[in-house]
Amino acid sequence: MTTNRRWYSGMLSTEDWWAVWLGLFMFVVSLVSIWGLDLVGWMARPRAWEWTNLLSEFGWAKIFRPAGSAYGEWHPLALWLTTYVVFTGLLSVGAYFQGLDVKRFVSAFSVIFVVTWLCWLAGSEMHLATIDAAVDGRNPYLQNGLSWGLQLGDGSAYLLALAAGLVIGNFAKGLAGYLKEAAKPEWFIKTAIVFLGIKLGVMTVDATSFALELILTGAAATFVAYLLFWPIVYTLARRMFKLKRDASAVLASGISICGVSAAIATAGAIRAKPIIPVTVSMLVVIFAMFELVVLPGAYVALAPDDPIVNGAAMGMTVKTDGADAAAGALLDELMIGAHLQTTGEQWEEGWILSAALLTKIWIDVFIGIWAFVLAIIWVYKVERRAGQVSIGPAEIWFRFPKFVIGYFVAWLSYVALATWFPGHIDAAEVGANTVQSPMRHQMFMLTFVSMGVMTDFSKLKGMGRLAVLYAVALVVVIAPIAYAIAYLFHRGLTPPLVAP
Amino acid sequence: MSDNATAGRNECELVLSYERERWRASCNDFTVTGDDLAELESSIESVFRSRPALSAQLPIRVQLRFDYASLPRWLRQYQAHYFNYALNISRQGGD
Repeated sequence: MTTNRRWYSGMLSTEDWWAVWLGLFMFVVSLVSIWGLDLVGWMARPRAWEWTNLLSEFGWAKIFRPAGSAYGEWHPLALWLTTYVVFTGLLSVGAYFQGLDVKRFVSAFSVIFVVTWLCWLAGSEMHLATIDAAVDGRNPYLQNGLSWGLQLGDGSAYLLALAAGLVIGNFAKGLAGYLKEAAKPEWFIKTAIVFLGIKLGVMTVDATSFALELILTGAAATFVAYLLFWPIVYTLARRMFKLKRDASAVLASGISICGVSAAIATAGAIRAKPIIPVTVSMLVVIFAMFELVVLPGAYVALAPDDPIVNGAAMGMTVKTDGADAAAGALLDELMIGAHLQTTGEQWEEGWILSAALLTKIWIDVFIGIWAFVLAIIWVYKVERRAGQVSIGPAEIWFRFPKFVIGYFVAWLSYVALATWFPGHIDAAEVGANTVQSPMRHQMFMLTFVSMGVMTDFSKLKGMGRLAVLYAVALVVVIAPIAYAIAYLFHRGLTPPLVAP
Repeated sequence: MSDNATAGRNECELVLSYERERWRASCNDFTVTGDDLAELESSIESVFRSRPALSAQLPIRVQLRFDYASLPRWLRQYQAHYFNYALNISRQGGD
């Protein structure tokens, strides 16, 4: 039995809180580098490699390297095994407290971990990833004698991970069923987002006004989502598609706010039968996958010179935190690569992703309040049962996305460190860079694979009217208005350039 | 049942779930079901009024807390709460 009674309910038993615990644990451990000890540099990360070079003389050191220079003497396989053991161990602790079958979790997670790393390694092959452009006087594309290349940057690894997950999810359903115990895209991405809080901290220190502008304009997107998208989609559902009030409200939230979490929060607010949010959630997850596959490439092709506009529009358009963060990460890599290719300029990594994410985080933060408002409206205006039925304000807290706390704690702690102890920031960055870069990338990769495993496109069969409404609302209402609003706030903004 | 003398109203808790297309509310003393929440609430009120031990507790605020474990597991990573609400049952004859 799982009911929420107290403000601390779920602190040890929900994915949301475990994203906070794992994320902040790694952050705190990384800060030990202030005292000269790198406790996270054992993290393995792929090297850029070229297949003929690897085949001519194989060596593990050609494909793996440590995140921290203090671990330079470790055998590359030892780095990878340590990475596996640490992350499997930490996630298993979380799995235990969440009531999962730990043995099954470990075995399924091991498969997902191996698939993830195979994709990460394959995606690091130079013919897939390396961009033909000179940076600081070096052009690795030419230096390595490449005669052809897809030039996708780090986006190639993400695309491979997504493809691998989708193949499993749609063509190996038995395996997908087995892996579901450990395919937790929302848990992985929320942990990655807490890691990203450190990145935002670094970015805030380096470019304060730009970071603050992203944060504030992300807040503005909240009003658009709640006050513009929701009523339009609700009206479309009621008038054109003749859906009942409860289904229309849940669908409006799922399509226009933050996907599955909003659908469930709204259904709970109006006390709908669970079949409604379950059905809407299935639709949201599948359409989020379509968005993830289509939008990054589309935005790069249509607006290659508006990176922050594209990121913010993504945050308002793509539903579920996992899909939005994943799409933002893919967009970040693809736009940086395309811009580098055409101009020779290298944008700093992470700003486009942050634009997508900050927009979504602000939307997430207000879902509890929105659901509370809807609950009051439903009791007073729809059911007309004020006095008989009462809704407590604790409902706002129970629906609040707890991982956001971890994100802001990581961000503000880093900024506080930089502000009050600036002499220690270089030492702190030794550990922080491991957490906010390769560890974060790994969690993103795990998310891509897990999302693919969980997405079964055949579930769209029989959704009929709901699927059509979703598609119409997305293409005709959400995507164009989101882009227009993002353009209004962010036109002309570009990320800082990588310092030479 | 817990006594909560605040504002002269007692409180108790029922765990809510949705199984085989019916709402279900239960505690140690009883279980009721309904096709929709209105029918369920009506059943809850009937139980309180029909049993002397329970009717002595009126007026009462019944805290209904949804058992999230009854929703599909894959949904919990997105949102770990469905709903809680309170049903206020007055003493018969006005309160």
